[in-house]
Amino acid sequence: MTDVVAPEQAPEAVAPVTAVAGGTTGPQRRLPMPTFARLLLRNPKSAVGIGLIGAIVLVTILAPLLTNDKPTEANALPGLAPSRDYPFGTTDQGYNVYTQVLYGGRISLLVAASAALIALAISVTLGLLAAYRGGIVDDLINLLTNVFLVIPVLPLLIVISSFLTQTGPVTMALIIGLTSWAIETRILRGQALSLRNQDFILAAKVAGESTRRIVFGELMPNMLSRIAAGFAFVFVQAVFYEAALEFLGFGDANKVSWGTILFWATNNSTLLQGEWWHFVFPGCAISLTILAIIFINYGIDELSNPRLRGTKRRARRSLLSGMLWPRSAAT
Amino acid sequence: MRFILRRLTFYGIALWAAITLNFVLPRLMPGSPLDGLLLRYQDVIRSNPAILTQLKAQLGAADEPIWRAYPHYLGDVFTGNLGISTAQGVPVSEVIGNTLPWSIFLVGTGFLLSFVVGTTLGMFAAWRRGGFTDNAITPLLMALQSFPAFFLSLLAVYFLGLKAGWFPIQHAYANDTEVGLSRHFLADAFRHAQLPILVIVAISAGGWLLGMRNVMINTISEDYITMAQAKGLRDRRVMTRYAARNAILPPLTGFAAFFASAVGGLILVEVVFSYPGVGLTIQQAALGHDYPLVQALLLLLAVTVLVANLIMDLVYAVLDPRVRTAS
Repeated sequence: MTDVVAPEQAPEAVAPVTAVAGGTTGPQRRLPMPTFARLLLRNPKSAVGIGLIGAIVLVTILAPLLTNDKPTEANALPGLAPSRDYPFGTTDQGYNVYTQVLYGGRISLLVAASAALIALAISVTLGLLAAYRGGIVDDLINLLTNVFLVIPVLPLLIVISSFLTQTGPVTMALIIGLTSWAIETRILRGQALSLRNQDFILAAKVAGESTRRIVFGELMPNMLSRIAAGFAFVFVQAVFYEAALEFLGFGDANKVSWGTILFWATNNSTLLQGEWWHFVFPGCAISLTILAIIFINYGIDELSNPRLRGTKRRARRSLLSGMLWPRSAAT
Repeated sequence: MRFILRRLTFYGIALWAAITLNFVLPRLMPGSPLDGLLLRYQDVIRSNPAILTQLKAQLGAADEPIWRAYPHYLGDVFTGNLGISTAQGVPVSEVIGNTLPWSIFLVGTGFLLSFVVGTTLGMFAAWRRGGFTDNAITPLLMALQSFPAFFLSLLAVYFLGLKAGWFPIQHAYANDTEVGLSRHFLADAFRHAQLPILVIVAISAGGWLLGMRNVMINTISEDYITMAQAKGLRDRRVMTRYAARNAILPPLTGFAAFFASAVGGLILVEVVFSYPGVGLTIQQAALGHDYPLVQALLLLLAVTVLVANLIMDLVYAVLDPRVRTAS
């Protein structure tokens, strides 16, 4: 049945577009964002996710207060199991894994966030432009999006990295951002299509506003909640791609991040020596980050698709089913 | 018919785009990758001077102008002339012939299993919302999805392979096993594939489960379900023949995105298990700057995704009559 509502096509239930009229931009316009954020915090699943990701970010920022060692200094005995002095153990070279995981999160999260911002900027521009202009512009953007959807991203990233002479965090954010915008573009285009024939868009068009102004001044502010959700979605992919590339050996192995810790953990065959702590803790850090975003996404889906919401009683009984999430990035 | 034609046109364009991307990428990169290659592979190049010409042409350093190099490249690709691997010194097609069957075996089995397991569980989860499947298995599979493929593989290798000793932890067959169609070899290959396949299923079944569950929750509230129940049909029959049958189509459309990401997962799983498939080969080739091999493999993976999608479109046209008749 075509009238079955797939979660990502679900109508925007949380962002009322009624409050917008005229072409003024600026702080006086009432944005749907605060309502959206409040709703997200009230939803138990997304609240857990927001709390979790907040805690992770906080811990990486406060790293210097939480550990006395430096991530790039090997001061400990090599190969120690987790203990009171070294909660996550030490590596073969005598690095403190706890320190490395705390500091490593900085690069991992920063690269992922930058990549997500780049990808999202592309998605917003292309998706909204396609929906608003329609016609040949829409066809071309749609074709480009579909082509990028069928080109596997990880192999593409691997090939690009092999051509680059050096891949530091900056290049990595750039190439991940430039390759992982396709899915979100398609989603945003679908969302924008439903807005394109609204009165305020037509009014702006009649008033002679430029395309750029209508897309970024009229359409975009009314989709902020959807775009914010898109950030969470792209971010989770970026976390995965960044870690995967570094794990495969295409990152800067001298910079400490979650991916490079895993790279060294497998490169030194610590696995065979039974040093599980070298890969389990950074791996858990990556998984927890992805899990946090999954929680947030599930909250977003519940808010926008009431049918997915269980009864109150049921929702409380299984907070764990908050891990439900329709779009898998982490494969 | 028109539906299929339209899709075929799209896949044609996508194929052309992938080939062109392959051609353009090395030419877009800052610096010349060629210098490093000449130094690294001077022995191979000295013994086979043709490689130098090939490398120059592939990396855009040839004297040929771009408007002549491009048709030349297209011609080479379509005649299957993919060049010679600089690291191994053998034709790229030979390397592919040796590695591709392993990957097809691994990802094919993993895909079929995860689809069957995922949609079946999704059906039960939606049918009994808040029941055991919905409250225990759904969250479990979803939690597994937040594990990146390489981390889950590492955990599986360490805890199930190394510590518990239930599975072999690397390669596609034991070192002392002779490759051939013997019973011993097949059993050994199967034994080595178990753990990687388990990881692939654990990661991807959740996606199918959720897709199925969410669509079926909507299907269940349709009138014809109530009607079927009112007729007094058995519960199981309503679930499989009425609800599940109508719910299975939308999740199938997610196949495109699924397969493209499954290819990424395949690379990671193969690398962790040292499984001699396409994924491990592309990683090794990229790390060793073996550009002819890397480019050919990227193309191969892109074509595989395209073909898989085309097959899925055909299946869709068979399953959904509306697609066939729509103008």
